[in-house]
Amino acid sequence: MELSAGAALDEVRRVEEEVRKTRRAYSTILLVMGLATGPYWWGMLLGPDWAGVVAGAGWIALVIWMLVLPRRPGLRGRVNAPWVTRLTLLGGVTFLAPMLVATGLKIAGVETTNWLVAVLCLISGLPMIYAGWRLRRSL
Amino acid sequence: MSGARPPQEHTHPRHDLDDLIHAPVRLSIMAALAAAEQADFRFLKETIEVSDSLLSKHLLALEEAGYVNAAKAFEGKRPRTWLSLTDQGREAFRRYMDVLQQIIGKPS
Repeated sequence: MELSAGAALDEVRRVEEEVRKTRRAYSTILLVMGLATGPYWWGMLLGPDWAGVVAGAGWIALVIWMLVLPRRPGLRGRVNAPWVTRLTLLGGVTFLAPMLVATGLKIAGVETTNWLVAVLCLISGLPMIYAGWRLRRSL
Repeated sequence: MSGARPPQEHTHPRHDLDDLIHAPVRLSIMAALAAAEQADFRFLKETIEVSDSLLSKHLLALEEAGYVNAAKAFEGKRPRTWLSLTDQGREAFRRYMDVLQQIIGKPS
């Protein structure tokens, strides 16, 4: 099949738009995850009982949304970049940090360091937020 | 008696198009990987709308030319193939796009 220069350029643009669309969805997931992480851990570790219930329910809703979003028509499959992988791995570590530290402090019987857990809650989502923001900027 | 004429030199930029890239499916693969850095097999299949076997065939051709790199990874128990352009592939695609721009008369 003969491919004209114009048709070739059109196809390149179409494919680039598909990549952008998929990246936009992935950056949205990263941003929402990053922004939700701090409030989630605050609710689970530091807030009153009702906040823990809300945080747990919210997180379940978030996970369902994350599973459904990439399966929308036209958004199947994945695109990635090595730096995103590194940041999300770091995000996995910082995500668990508040829980691990809070559990460690509880086991050790230290109760005066809630400020440390609060700080960890604040920074736990930063790698995901940064990855999502940077990915969105590159669109 | 006149001697054989030397072959005429090609001046139209279309002669500089990389034939390996200038084919419908392979062009789409190269464009997707140039824009995405890394894409999985499924993304390419859905975006280009081709069968697994046809996509594999064209990917193999690009891999053999040194344009595409394939890396297999497991996510849980599910295998996933990540495709990316090599430096050589990225450079070839850049040159290809330059030639396309020359053909349609726009500066790149």
